[in-house]
Amino acid sequence: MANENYYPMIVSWELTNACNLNCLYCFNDSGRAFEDELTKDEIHNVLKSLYDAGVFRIEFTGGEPMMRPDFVDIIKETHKLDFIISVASNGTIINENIASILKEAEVAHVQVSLDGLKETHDYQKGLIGAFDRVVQGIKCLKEHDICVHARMTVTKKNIRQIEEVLKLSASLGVDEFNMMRVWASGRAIDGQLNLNSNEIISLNSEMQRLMELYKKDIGIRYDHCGFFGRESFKPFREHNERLCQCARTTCVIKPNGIVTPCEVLTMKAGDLRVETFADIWRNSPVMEEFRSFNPDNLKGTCGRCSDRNICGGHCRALALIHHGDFYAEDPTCWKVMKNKMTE
Amino acid sequence: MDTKETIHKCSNIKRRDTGSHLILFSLDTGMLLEFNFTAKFIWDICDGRTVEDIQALYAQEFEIGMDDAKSDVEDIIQILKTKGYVS
Repeated sequence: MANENYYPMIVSWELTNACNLNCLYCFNDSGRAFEDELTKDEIHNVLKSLYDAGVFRIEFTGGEPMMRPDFVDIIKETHKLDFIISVASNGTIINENIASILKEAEVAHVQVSLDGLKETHDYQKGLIGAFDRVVQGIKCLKEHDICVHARMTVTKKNIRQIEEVLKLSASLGVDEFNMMRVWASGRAIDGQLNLNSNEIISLNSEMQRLMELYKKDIGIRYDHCGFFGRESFKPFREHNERLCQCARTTCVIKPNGIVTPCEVLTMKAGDLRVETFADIWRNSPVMEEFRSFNPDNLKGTCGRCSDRNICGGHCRALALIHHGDFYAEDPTCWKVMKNKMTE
Repeated sequence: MDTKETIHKCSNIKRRDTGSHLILFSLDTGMLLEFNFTAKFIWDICDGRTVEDIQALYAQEFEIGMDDAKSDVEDIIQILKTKGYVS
């Protein structure tokens, strides 16, 4: 095994920075491919390195991973090495050929973005017609009997459309609806799309209501919103384990082969052009910094919060981005926002 | 444990061999199971053989007495059964 205590179960791999959309909240600011992205041969070598380190699952993402001309070859090679594959896509360029290859590769699921009804979706994704194309993409995947997850990134703009998007997803045969709040990073760093404390609290209640109402029609998963009483969090509570698994069971490969613990902020743990994945996972001081994170050292509201062990201060990358401090309070938590209002 | 029982690996199991250890991942439960060198030997021969055949091969491979082999093999097979890796 690559590390005595931490096993690299899942790797999220940003195959390219190229993207045909221009999402308002993209944390990678994706658009054009980087000049130094891994070549097809280098990708094959990295796949072998991941296999040797014992990685089981690869989530291909981007950018838009399907923008790579060799995307299909990469999927075939990944399948040959017996990885569990999933793909996160904006869903707009899925066609018969891609869907049939994904099916042959026994892809566990394809996650597509679905941020609202037509006008809202197109607005958030930065392309008129994106909604029609993603609906076509979902239909194409379902025609090939591929498991589809619809990911809705909830912002101030679309928070009133969750039920409609959920119903649409169910009507399209989507297997799981996955709601996440917008991350205040990348293009959304100015916070204009962020939910305020009352909206986050209402969102949690609304998701509980929708879960009860629609759980027979579609699988539903949603952001913890700062509430940790759910049954699905029980194993984490029982084992005193925090939700963020960065550097513990997961990490990220950037398009140029840089390995980083977290997708929100690139902190170079190693370079797959010059090191094996196992060496990076085992020896990188950046990985170690994440692993040795101690919730008792959190500051401000997070430091006083009774949920700090399971929450872990939500996303430490956001703390670094907004406060320059790995242990600063999470600027996107409703409890932090409420306390700021009363200070 | 019935030593005449045949033991089969379940489907939907993926494996990674990292040299000293074997890691099994169950697609059904999403759980990982880590084996050392000796347990890995037992897993590899869970291919329709009976428990007593596995015990005999284990004793031979590691040059130990049958009493120790019986106990080791039964313990491992019990864990594998409980966690849904063999039937």
